[in-house]
Amino acid sequence: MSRGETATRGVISASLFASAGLLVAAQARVRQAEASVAGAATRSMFGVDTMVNALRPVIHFPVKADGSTGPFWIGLTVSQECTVAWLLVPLLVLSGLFAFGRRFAIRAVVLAVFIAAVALSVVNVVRLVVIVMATHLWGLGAGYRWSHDIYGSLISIAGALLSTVLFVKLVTRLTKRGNLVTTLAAVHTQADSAQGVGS
Amino acid sequence: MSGPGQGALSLAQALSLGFSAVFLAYWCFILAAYLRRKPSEPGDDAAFTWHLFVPCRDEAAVIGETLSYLRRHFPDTDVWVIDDDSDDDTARIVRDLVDCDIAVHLVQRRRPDARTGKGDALNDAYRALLAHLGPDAALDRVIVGVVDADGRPSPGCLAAVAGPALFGDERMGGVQVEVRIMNRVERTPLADRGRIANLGARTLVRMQDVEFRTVIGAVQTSRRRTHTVGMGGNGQFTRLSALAALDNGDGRAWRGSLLEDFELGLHLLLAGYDNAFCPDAWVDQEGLPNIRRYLTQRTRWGQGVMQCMRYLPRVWSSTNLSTSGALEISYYLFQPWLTLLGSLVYPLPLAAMIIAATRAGMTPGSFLANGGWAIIAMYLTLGTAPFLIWGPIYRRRCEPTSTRRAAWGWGLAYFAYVYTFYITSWRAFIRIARGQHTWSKTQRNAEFDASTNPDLAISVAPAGALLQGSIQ
Repeated sequence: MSRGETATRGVISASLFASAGLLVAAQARVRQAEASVAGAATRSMFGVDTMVNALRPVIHFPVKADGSTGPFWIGLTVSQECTVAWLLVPLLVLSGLFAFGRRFAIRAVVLAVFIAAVALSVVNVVRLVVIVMATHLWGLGAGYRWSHDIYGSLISIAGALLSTVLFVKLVTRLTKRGNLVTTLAAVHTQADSAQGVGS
Repeated sequence: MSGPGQGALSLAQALSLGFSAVFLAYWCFILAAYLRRKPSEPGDDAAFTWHLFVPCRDEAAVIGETLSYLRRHFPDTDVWVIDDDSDDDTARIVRDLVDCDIAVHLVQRRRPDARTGKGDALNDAYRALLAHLGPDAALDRVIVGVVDADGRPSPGCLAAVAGPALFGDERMGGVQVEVRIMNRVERTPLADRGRIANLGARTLVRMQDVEFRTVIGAVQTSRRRTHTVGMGGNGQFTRLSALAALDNGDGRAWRGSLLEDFELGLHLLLAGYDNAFCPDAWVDQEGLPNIRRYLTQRTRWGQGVMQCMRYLPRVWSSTNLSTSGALEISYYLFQPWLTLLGSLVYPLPLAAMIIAATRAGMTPGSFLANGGWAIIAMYLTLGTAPFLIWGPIYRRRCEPTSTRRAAWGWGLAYFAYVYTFYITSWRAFIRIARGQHTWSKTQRNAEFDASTNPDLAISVAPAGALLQGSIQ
């Protein structure tokens, strides 16, 4: 591995670790962003009147009432347990480790982590939209409880599974075996030369 | 909860979900490989010469019958019994045979150089074999098999592993055959105990058969795709030229970890050989009906995997392993560590849910009535299904005459069985932390019965003499 490549890998690896740290530190902002995206998606796709609190990660929307007094509004908080931020942390840390090792092509790691992170984030927004819509249609009892506790959990597991498969497939397939062997052979040759073993 | 506590809980939840996702992805991968696998073509076993190594330490209870079996079913093979300075009659039984059978060899080890591990014992036999063959032998046409002292390779086993896709391929360094548990149908494995104890014992034995023939078979089959098939301690076949390539001139093809079989497979892969799994042949071995002995055995295995973590840098820098292969081996090596971490992480979200429900004034009854039953049902389904499914698969593939009820019962039992890995992983970790690296040899069932019930020693002692009687 040349000095330039080592430096590049170091920078990318450090950036991925830093991103993980940043997510931990700024998870409140991530939740705020998720609430905004989920609220906007629900409004544009289903025409439900949603509002997102500018200061808190809360999606406000009407719940259809059984009585004649009309719908009542509630706020759905995107809590720390609900956010994608914590799910992204292990992914970024793992990618940081992969980026530093010479086994993987740097672009493979970067692309794989980007696509896996996007997949995780999109699935989590879908989950929030499902919870909002179920609560909107069927109320806090049946709607919220089932969509949050059961379907939401299933969506999370499916998303994590999808993201894992995507990440592994991409990071292995995009790393060209030929490039890898060439790189490692070059390293071994350099090491041998440095020790005076080479001819 | 707020601040760092909330963050830690959320991270625990995320890790729990991440581990589950990785596990489910791996489970799908091995299940698909297992269900798709096809029989491989047998080869000409006469194209090779075969030598079976049988490591022994206090195996008088079983070695006579094992040798009788091997000489009957594999008359063209040489058998090398390695006596690890047994305190019982093992060496005498073998020596009597050596005197009259040119194909039976005794490699006698003596303390303090004996009892230093199975790998060292196998290396002694390896050096003896090289000396026996001489310098001009074609080592690539010589195959070394390792069989436990109670092992019973299936008839036709050699032709199966000699197949064109196995040792017929010159790149193939090692082939591992399937392991089956011979006492899986025994109704009363603990003869002197009651019905409940025997139910538990035979279930434990059956679970080992389920594990070897389904889950481990599936893992090994899937490894053909990543070219990372692992070697086991019993039913392990290796090309002698590959062993010679590993010994670095010091006559040690096997190395010193507590999982010397897996370590050997890893060395073969790192040296550029391929390994294969052969489910068309098998070796029968005894299952352990005693939970303590089972835990001791599995603790050793777990500790062995933990010790093999030292190979991780070599795995990742090897040009002979693909990236997916390096990932697969890494996942395997991390298994005991992930089990340790999981035992800490998995209960946290559940504990938080219980605390939150209690604070909200919910009783177990009101929790269940308010949809809690569905949550519990979902987690039970997701948590058990990947294990439960092996029961019906085992019935379909391995025991087609058994009932559906038995199949689901085995699946449920297997779910409980995997929880022993938490115990063995922690025990292995504690042993490492205490610096305990000695080898705990697993007692044979007859040996154990004799040591716990002196009355049974009378029936055990003649087992070794059985063969002597037949040849005199």
